[in-house]
Amino acid sequence: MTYAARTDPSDRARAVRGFLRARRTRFRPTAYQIYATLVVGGISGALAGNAVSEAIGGSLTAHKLLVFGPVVLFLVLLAALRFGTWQGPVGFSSPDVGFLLTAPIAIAAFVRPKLDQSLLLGAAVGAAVAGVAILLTAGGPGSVGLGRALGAVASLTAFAVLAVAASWLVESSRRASGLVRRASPAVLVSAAALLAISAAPSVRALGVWSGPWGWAIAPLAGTSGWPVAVALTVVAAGASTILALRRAGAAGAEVFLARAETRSGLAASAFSLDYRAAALAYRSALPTRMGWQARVPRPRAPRLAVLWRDATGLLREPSRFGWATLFASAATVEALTHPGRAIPAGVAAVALYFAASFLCEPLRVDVDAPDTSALLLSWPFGRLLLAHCALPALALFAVTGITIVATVVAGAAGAGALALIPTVLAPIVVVAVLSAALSARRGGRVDEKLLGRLLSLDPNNPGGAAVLVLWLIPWLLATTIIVGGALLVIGTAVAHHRAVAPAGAVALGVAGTACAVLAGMARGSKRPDR
Amino acid sequence: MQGAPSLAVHDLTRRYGGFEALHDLELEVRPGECVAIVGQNGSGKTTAVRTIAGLLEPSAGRVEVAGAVVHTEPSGIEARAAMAVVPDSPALYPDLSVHEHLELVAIAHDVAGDDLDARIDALISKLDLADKRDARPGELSRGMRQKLQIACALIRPHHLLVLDEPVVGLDPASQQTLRDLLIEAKRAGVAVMLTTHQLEFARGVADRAVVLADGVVVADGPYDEIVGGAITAGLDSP
Repeated sequence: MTYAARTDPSDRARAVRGFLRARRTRFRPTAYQIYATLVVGGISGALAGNAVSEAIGGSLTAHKLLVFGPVVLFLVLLAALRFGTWQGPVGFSSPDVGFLLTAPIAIAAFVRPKLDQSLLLGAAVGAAVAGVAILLTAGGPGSVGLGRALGAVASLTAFAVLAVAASWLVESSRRASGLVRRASPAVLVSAAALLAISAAPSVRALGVWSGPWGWAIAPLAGTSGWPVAVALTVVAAGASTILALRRAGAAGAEVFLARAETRSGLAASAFSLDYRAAALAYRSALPTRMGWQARVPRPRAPRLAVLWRDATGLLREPSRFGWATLFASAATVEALTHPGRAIPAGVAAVALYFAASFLCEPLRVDVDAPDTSALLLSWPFGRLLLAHCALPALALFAVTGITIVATVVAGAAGAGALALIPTVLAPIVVVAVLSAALSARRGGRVDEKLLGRLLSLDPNNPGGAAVLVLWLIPWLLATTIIVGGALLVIGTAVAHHRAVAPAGAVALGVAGTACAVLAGMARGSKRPDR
Repeated sequence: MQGAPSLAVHDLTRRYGGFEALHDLELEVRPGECVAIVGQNGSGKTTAVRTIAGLLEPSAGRVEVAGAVVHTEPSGIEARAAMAVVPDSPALYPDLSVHEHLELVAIAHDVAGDDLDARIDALISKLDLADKRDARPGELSRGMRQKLQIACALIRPHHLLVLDEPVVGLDPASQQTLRDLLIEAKRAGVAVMLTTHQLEFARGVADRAVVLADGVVVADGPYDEIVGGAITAGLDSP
């Protein structure tokens, strides 16, 4: 029996792809579907364009481009790298892995066409973004000039290709994947530093020349030396593309099997509107690290059991604390440095809610398997839920308190900000934690009754969309209103040099009352039925 | 059962983070021999199969199929040509028929000849899938999908046949058919490695049993000697 291939493997790969193309069902839209897509796309596009235009204050000035452009592209590159750690630009379905990647054909022969496709798609998206940016430029496209416009298209296209190639380099290397995941918090801090540099006129040039994220902005912003920046971006994109193509055969079937399983898990969860299962599917795609098994001294008092369990969980998964710290300190700095402004206050409240959410994971685990906690702890569910809030509240209070002190010491906020620590800080933090816990209580699933109601909503009725939003993010909305409101009241007094004490008393009253109401709701929570 | 081993596994270790699912696995399967890997849930059977099949990278150690190393290119291509794998859960294209799945395997493995249709028809008749020739996976029961995966493995020549829990979902008649096919493969000199919970199924097919516990081989010897007692004592899965 011989196993020597009679035809060239790349010919065979082509034959397999041709066979699948010919046999597999293709989606052929009807005329109505095309019409509906064009109408919906046109309306959404106009709305999105309007929203973008509003967000950037009508047009893209050189100043805005120089301040925000580098950091936005820096974050886009980080997102592409993070995407590579669990999916990436090359993906295969589970049957593809079983049938194609186990065939006696070099895996690169199947990877290469998909990688080429992703690079082309990246280039098209980059060029489209460049086109939109030119249209939105202050003074209109005419003010940019042909040379700079071509430079902008070239540099943003090259940047997008660079992002796709970098994403594949991460996808194809386990070491690079681990590095990106571990370095992400530090990279986010670097993004904040980049923003600070770009905002300071004296060192702004550093932001533009700090890397491809800045070079790609240079032609549109009209920075002197922009042709050099374009050349640098193109060279960087070319080099990373060559490297990516050379590594087309670097990833084994395991990489694609894991991604295929994650994708099918995510699709199943999305289909049943179960975003907790989707989060777990995403998490299962990340490699586990069990090297260090931290231990916390066992408490003697049974009432401290949950606190002990949460502290142990936090020590064994320090990244949750890292992300919570990042969000909580960003929220604090945002609120302190923009007093009396509604949007920064709202953004700070949202960031604080997410920080609390990161710390509420042990509660979610108990909600996933409510029988476990019922057997191990014979506590009513409401008491369990409140007990799970203790550590997140203490941790967030410590982080936000330290950030307030650091902001004051750095001179970014007045010494009066220190008065927040013994007064309104605790109730504000507790509101965020209780809201996150009440949200986690639902287990991230839509129950059948609600699903029925959501499906029966009239799409023409704007109230339907409101119901959907209220279902999806009620506790985030509650935090935004309560915490954002309290911050706004105090911040307005500070910004207008009014007496802060009465405003603080109002904020304390609002947050304190909200705490009492939310704690009552938490205490009355029933164990979820699974 | 003479000659060089069709499957040679040396010091195979596989870790998931800090958890070691397989530890220093040593295994050889010779042409015409059938080895059954048995063990409880979580003992490392599926990890072993997936690593041998090249679907998982080993953390340490080496796997050779017909003398070709599985996890390096280009020898991995040779190894994949010599090995047919039946996974524990069927992953099939939802829009391809039974016949088209087999055609695809034949093209990918370069064994599509003028007699392909006849070979496909003979194989699916043997597996009692003839009346489902043009059916898609959505129209097949779990057992039928499993039989299709088995057919996909058997449609092409191979030195080594690896099956992960092949009888899950199969009715007693289909289990008997599979047993006959495996015996036929052994007679043709194919090395067979299978994992199973159903110890009775492997009786009469498997020559050797390798018992895994927590990723470590705890027993290795003649099948009846190692597993016979468990079957007699009624410890077999139904």
